[in-house]
Amino acid sequence: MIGIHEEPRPVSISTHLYRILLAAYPSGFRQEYGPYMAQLFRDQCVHSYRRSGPSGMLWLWTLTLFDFFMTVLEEHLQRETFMSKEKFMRLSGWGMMLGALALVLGFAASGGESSYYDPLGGRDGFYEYAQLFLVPSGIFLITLGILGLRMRYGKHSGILGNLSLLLSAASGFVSFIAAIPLFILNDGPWWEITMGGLLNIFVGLAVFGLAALRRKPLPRWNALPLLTGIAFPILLTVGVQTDQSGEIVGPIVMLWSSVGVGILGYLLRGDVPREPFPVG
Amino acid sequence: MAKMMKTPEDLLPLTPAVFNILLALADGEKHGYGIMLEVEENTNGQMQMGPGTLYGSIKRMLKAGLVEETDERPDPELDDQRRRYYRATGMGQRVLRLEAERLAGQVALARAKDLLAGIAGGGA
Repeated sequence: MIGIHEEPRPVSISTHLYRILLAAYPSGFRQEYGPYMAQLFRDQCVHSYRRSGPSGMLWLWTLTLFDFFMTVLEEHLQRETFMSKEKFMRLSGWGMMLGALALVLGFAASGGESSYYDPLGGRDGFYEYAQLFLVPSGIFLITLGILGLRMRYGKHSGILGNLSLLLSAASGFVSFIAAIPLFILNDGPWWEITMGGLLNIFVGLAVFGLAALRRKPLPRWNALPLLTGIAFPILLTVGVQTDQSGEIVGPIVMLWSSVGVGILGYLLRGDVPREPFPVG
Repeated sequence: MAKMMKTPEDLLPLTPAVFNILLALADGEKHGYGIMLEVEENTNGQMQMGPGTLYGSIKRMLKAGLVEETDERPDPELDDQRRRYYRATGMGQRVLRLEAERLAGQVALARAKDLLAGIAGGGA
């Protein structure tokens, strides 16, 4: 039973996640309107949750994420000091490193759960909230990193390399969006969508890795994208064939892939041209 | 003053978001959530503004002098210090009236071309 002043957990979690997303807006806009936007989103959450429960929240998140992506871009463009390509690439490199760390910690937190099927916030509440925060954040940051990789190396890796990074980034956004309801609802197709998106992130990276081996767009370690991307698809393929992905192999592959992503982020962060990046 | 002042006509046509926010503020000051609810109700749920669209529009409307922040509260008992209230300025009201007239003209044109036949209120 929810008291008058007691906020349902999905509402407080959603409001917290939205406050994190607000960091993507230009600082002036965020400082001026961020608290009021968070308050408005909280009001929307309460209304949706009371009216339609978790499905209402899910619909609200879908609309809000669309609004978020469109208006973040719009506010940066209207500021007329849209983040330079160099700054974006450098930040996306940091994002990749942080995202890899968040992903490892998020999946490590799943090991602390005694049951994957109990409702959010039960006896495994700490581990569940850790996953809810870390896994979507990790996927989002890695996706930004892949966009940075594409911006920096896409043109020099040919059509195949460029498109595969685009596929990887698009899959990342799909996976990120699905990861939020995955941990809130603990039901539905979200696990498959999240993992399918994650798989395609790494498939895209592996294909980019093939192009990188041939065209060598990276300053060094051109085999790294392939080594990073290939482990996860192999694990899932073997897992499907043998009907198990392995209690030991799974975490090792996740660690391997995340370390690879982290190193790629490190490489990208340090390989941003000082001069304005050529346009066109 | 070197700064060029914009006339209400310069701001037309309005975007659907700006028009609906001004329409929501036509009968008094409201906070962001109040504006959002009224827009949703006025458009039968066809326009659902997210926080980014609402506050992005408000930012531009403040800059254009269409709305202003207000310290007045419609009902002090329901006041919430976490909220910011807005109201339409005189300029905002003029722009809203002009835009409504412009839209009415478009509807009249559609009616004259018999495009609204069969729609409630659309008969000649």
